[in-house]
Amino acid sequence: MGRLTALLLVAFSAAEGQNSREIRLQAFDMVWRTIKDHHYDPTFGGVDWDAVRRQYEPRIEQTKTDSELHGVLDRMIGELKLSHFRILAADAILDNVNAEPWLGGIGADVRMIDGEAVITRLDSGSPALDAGLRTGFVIRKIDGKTVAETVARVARTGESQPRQRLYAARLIRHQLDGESGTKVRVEFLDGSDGVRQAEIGRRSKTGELSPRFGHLPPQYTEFAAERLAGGIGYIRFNVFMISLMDRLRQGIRAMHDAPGLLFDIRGNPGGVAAMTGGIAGMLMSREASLGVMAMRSGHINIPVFPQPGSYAGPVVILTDEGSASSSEIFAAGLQELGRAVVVGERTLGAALPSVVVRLPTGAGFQYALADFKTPKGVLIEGRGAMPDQPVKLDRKSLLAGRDPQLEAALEQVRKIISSTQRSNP
Amino acid sequence: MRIPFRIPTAAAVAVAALAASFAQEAKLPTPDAILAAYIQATGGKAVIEKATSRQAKGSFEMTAMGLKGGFEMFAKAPDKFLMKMDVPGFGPVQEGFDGTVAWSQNPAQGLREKSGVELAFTKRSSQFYRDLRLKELYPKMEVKGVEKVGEKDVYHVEAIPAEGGPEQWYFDKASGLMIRFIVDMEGPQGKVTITTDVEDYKGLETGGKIPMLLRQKIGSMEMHLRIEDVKVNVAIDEAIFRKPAA
Repeated sequence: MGRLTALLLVAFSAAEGQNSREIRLQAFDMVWRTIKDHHYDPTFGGVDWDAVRRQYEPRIEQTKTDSELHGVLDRMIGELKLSHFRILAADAILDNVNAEPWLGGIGADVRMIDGEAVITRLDSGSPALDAGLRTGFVIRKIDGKTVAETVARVARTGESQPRQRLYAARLIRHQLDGESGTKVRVEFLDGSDGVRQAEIGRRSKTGELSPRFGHLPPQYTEFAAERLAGGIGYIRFNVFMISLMDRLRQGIRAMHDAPGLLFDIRGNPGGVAAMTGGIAGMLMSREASLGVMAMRSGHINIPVFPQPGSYAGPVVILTDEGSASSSEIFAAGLQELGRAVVVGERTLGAALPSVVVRLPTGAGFQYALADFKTPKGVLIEGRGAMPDQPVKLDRKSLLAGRDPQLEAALEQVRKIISSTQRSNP
Repeated sequence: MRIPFRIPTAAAVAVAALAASFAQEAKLPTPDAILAAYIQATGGKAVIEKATSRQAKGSFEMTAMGLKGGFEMFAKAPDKFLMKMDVPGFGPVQEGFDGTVAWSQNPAQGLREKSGVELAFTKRSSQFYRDLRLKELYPKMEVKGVEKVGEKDVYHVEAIPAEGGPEQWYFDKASGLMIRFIVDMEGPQGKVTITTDVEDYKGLETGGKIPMLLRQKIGSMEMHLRIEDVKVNVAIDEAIFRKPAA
């Protein structure tokens, strides 16, 4: 449930066409009524939902195309001012924000920092590294298309600034990716702000596609587990998809003798929420809950069931504003249970469990089934998980080959180890 | 989830039995009379007791999530039960009870043992002759009235188990069959109300009558389970009901 909203767009693109007025009215009624009958908050957050119908129905009558309809529907559900409510249509502005994932790439990760598309990570031996790119370099153009154009396009969504940065970075990564064996022309600023260009051959990515899960199309998945200085364990995964679960369990078990364990979920947009409890079960020795999803009637917990071979040492979770949905549930839940320290940036604040249904027009309609509150009752939506130690990523550090967030996380692990040793000499 | 397996059908007998018990008075029937008619409608005690094990295969669909898959169920007297669902893109989901230990396993949350109210619910649901033991399993029962489920007039019975919250059962006045039950499921996963519409009762070659379609609703989510094949009195290795090794 939840998350990866933009990834669903492609799944609903093919079926769309221009439909009759009757079909458009049916789509409108389905969207309005679904929210009316099933929205988890019967007060609609103070919005008069019947009045919303009166306001928008005449506008729907005036629409001439599916595109216009979907725009009006998006504005109507936007009245709720919540994440995970949107129309997923081929004509949406963000139609290729992380569309069908490419399996070829240049091995570079990009984040928006101070309005620039900055390279934050390079895979060792990657085409980008071979072409002379380094962390801290700024991407300016991709195949002749400027990053500024992409940023402006995203700005037209009217989304919050963190979401705009997130979507822009996703679009840029999508533009850098492509079929393995093809090339991409990149203009970038180097460490001295000199403008440079490179034509970079794309290679097969090292990760895998997850299987389709209902309406959720296959996702590109990456998993890395390694030991850092002092034997501290480091686990990074880019999305909460079930196909990674076995590797996560094995990876955590393999860290049984590590003095501390660090989870890097920066840029992880979430995925299958139940996985958060499953991973936490590998880190807990008692039954617990990472939080509660309250529906209009009843509630669903994110339970944690301790699993054999669970890790008992200190845990630190690295987050940034690209950590969304299940990432937020995982970080905030373990933080409040006192099982993990969170380092990095405040998360996105988009953690509503949702489903996607198909409208008569062929577009998808994603709506939240429930809200989500942490074990202490904190609503994550619109707020995010707060790091115990806030640390920003900056270009200067990246140019120096440093990752200040990772460094701070490692320092946190060492602090916990040393305080544990002091209290248990 | 519970799928009642029942045996030979004598719907006419059931209806007659029920009708006879109320013919002389307009007031509501007793829970005993409704349950007796239900047992008759699904085959009668003698036929129900002829079966000692069942195995069923079928398919499920969650339209809202675009999910379809298959399931298998195994049940053995007196109280062993296993359900295996294959959820595409998610993996195998299993729920089992070996007569003592109730367990659940799925790819996301791993393996766990049930306890408390959840264990009590599983114990009740896993009773092979559950329908014959309803009075014992639910010490308090009350007929709440005559209501409508769709177009059908139904008797609404509230049944309260020794451990756990009340369940709402709806029996078709005409056929005597249970056509809906509502359960508040409570456990570490939370508390949700599950409404299950039980449809398409069909007779088995071996006798009896079971519902082939269940429509479960949890809020706006709906899951349909369609039984496609049922075998009765098949040999089932009891080991499959045991909690798997971690």
